[in-house]
Amino acid sequence: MKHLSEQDVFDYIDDPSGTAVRDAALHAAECDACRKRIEMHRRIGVSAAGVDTHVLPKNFTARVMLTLGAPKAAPRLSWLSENGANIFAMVFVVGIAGCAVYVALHASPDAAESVYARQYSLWRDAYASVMQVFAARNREVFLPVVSETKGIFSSVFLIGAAALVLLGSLDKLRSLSRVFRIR
Amino acid sequence: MADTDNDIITRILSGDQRAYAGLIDRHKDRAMTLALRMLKNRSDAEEALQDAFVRAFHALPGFERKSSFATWFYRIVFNVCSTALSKRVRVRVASFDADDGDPMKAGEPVSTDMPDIDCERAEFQAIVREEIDAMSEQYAAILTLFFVQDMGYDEITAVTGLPLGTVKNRLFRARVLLQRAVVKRCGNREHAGMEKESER
Ligand SMILES: [Zn+2]
Repeated sequence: MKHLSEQDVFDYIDDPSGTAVRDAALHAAECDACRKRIEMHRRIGVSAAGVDTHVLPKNFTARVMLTLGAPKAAPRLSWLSENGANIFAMVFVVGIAGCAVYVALHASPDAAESVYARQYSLWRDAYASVMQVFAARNREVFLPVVSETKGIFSSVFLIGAAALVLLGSLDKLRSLSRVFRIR
Repeated sequence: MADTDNDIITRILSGDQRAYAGLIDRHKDRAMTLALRMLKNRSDAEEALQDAFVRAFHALPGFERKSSFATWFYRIVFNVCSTALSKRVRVRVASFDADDGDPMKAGEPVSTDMPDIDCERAEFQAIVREEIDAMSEQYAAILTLFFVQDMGYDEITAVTGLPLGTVKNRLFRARVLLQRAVVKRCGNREHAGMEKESER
C-alpha cells in the first residue's frame, strides 16, 4: 500500500474540507500508520499555536508609549498665527525705537517739522493710545481713544490684534471639532 | 463590539495617539513570540519589539491598508529582528539558505513508523515549544508565522519577503524537522522510527 506523502498529510490537516484531500481521508480511514502521522502533526500544530502571555514585562505598553512621547497638541493653523503677535510687537517696538534714535541724533530746531519727526510723533501717539487701551478699565476710556483722529494707529493695532486672536481661536476650534468629531 | 485594528488606526490618525496602546496590547504577545524565536534572547527580543512598535507608529500614516495591520506589522518585526541577527557575529553555520543535508521530498512519506506518544498534554506542548525555540531562527520564524500568527503562504511571503516556493519548501522542512524532534523526545520507543520507508 502506498502511504500518504508528507505533503498529503499537511494538506489534509491544513484544510480537511479541500477536495484534493478526499483520497487522503479515504486512505487514512484504512491505514493505521498514516492516521497516526496525521494525528501527530495535528497535535504538534495545536501545541505550536500557543502563545506565552507572560514573557513581556507588565509595563511594556506604557514604556513604548513613553518612548513615543506625550500626545502632541493639535497642529497649528499656520506659521503666521503662531508668530504673528511676536512680529507685530517687534515691528511696533522697533518702529518707535528707530524714530526715537533718529530724532535724538538729528533733531534740531529746524528739523522739528521733518518727516522723521512727524513719524516719530505719530508712533509716539499710537503707542500712548495703545497704552491707554491696555490701562482702560471701562468703556468710557476705551471708546474715546479709538475714535480719536490721532488714534488711527491704535485702531490699526487693535484690528491686527483682533485678527490674531481670531486666528488663534480658529486653531482652538479645529482642536475642539476633532474632539467632538462625529465618527 | 471590540474595535478592529482598522478602527484603532483611524482613531490614531485622527489625533488620538493614545489609542496606539490598544494596538500594542493586542499584538505584543504574538509579536514577542516571533521576536523571541528569531533572536533566542529575551532582552534582545524585547528591545527589537519596542523598536518595531515605535517604527510602526511613525510609519502608520503611510500604511495603505492593502494588507491587514498584522501582516504589515509582523513584516516590521521580522525586518527589525533580521537586522539584529545580521549584526550579530555568526557562530552558527545554520542559516535560512543552508541545506541541512537532509533530503526531504514533499511527494514522499518522510516517516511512516510513528511511535505512540508517552507525554501528557502540557508536557507535550512544552516540548513542542522548546523544539521550535531550538530550531534555527529561519525555521522557527516561519513556523511561528504559520502556527501562532495563523498566516497562510501568501501572508508569510509578504512578511518575510521570500518567494512563495521558498516559503512552501521551508515550512515543509520545518514541520518535518519539528515532528522528528518531538517524536524523538516523546516517542515511547527507544528508536523513534523516523527512517524513511522504502517503497517497493
Ligand atoms: Zn498509510
